[in-house]
Amino acid sequence: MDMYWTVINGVIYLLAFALIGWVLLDASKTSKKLKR
Amino acid sequence: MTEDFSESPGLVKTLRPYHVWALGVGIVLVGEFMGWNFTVAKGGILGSLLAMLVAGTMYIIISLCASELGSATKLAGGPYDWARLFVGPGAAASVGLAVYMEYIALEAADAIVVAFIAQEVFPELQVFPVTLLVIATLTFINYRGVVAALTLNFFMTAIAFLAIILFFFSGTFGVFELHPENLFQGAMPNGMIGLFAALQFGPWFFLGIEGAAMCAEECKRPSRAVPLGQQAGMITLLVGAAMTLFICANLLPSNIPAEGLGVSVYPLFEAAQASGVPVLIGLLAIGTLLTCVSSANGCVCDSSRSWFALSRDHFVSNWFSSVHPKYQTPYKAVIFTMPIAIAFAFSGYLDQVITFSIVSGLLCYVLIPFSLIRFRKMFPSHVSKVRPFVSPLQPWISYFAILIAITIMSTLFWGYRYNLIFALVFYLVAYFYFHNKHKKHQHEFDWGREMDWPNPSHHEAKE
Repeated sequence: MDMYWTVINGVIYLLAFALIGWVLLDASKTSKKLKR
Repeated sequence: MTEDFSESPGLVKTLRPYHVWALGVGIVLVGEFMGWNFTVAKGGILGSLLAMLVAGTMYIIISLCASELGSATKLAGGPYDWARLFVGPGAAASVGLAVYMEYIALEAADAIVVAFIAQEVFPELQVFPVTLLVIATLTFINYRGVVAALTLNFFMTAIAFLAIILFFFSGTFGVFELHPENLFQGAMPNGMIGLFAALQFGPWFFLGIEGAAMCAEECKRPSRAVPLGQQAGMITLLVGAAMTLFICANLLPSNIPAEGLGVSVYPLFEAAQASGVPVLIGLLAIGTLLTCVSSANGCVCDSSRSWFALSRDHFVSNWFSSVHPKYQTPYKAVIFTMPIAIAFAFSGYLDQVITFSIVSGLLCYVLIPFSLIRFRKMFPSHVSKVRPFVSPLQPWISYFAILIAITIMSTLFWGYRYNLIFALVFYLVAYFYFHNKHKKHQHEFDWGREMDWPNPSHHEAKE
């Protein structure tokens, strides 16, 4: 049961970091495009 | 001042009146689900009623001012832009910062509450990752587009508001038993001083409704959408506040200081539990959760617009004023809300964060009516081009709103004196900092070119 919730908490972390990562990556790409 | 707009296109103009309603009510409705009941702990049921009426009067006036100013200026900065145009740069930047801080602190508080609710349902869930996920998700949605973010807010807010209405009518039509004796037993436990002290929590019922006008620059027809959405929002909140107070005061006892309505964390949900009707308990639980998420969502939208406007006018780095070419959102300003909200959320001082948000809000409620008074003096004629919406009884009601805001701010001295002093010193320092910084970029404001308006009356007098 503990393992089960550790995995769920880990997945929530992963999701959060994936969203943050996507936003930052897209922002950096867009910034570069706009500079050109 | 707006000549260096950005290297990319402007904000997209797609929003309708219901989006404005969703933005305003979405931010505020959380205050009906929690927080307002601290008025009961200070001043009993009568104190709560008085606080609701006093704060309600102030917010009706603020909404009228915001509708008139928002539909006239049609700018994204809201109170910041109104103060910039009609008061001065120091006041503008301070109020812009106050709006930013008010909403971002509220976003952090909302995200923490969502995580706590999730943990109550599933005790093994950790607060930290859920808070992070809420902040990251809302940043992602707001980054991708304002229409999607506010349409989502519309549905979440509508469900939460319907939950309050259903709960109220279930009570009045006898689905469960009401206890009117509770209204009298805890009417005024701390006497007159309690009534006065309760005022400090009155803004919870309506805190943030002025933010509805901040999407004016993204509205299809701002002269119609802003007043309509804002006033509909204010009516919704007044109805919601009255229903909430009535039903909660009936179901939860308020005569025992250590328990009951005055100290409840989720008063509407706990009142539903007291009713014993499973459907209502589920509905109010969902409503509490949705209203927290929609409040945080609206806060990301408003705080990013305020920061974007500050950046566009060089008060903070011009780097934040870029607009995304595909999503047409102020993407750098949206991203910048994330680290600040995370920092607030993990500071561990939830009540301090909320108090800072309230003081920042009250500072805005002094400057918004003051901006309107100045606007009326500078542009006295009711030309529809300048003033598409004319609010009644101005400027007298604006003076009254300033008086109420200062009175409520003074009541914070009971219990939150250091927070109040810290916040006032913070904004005073900000005022002088931005006033000096602005001197470098100062130039004569061209009303015709920048606003498509005639020159203000004092200009004509000079000529």
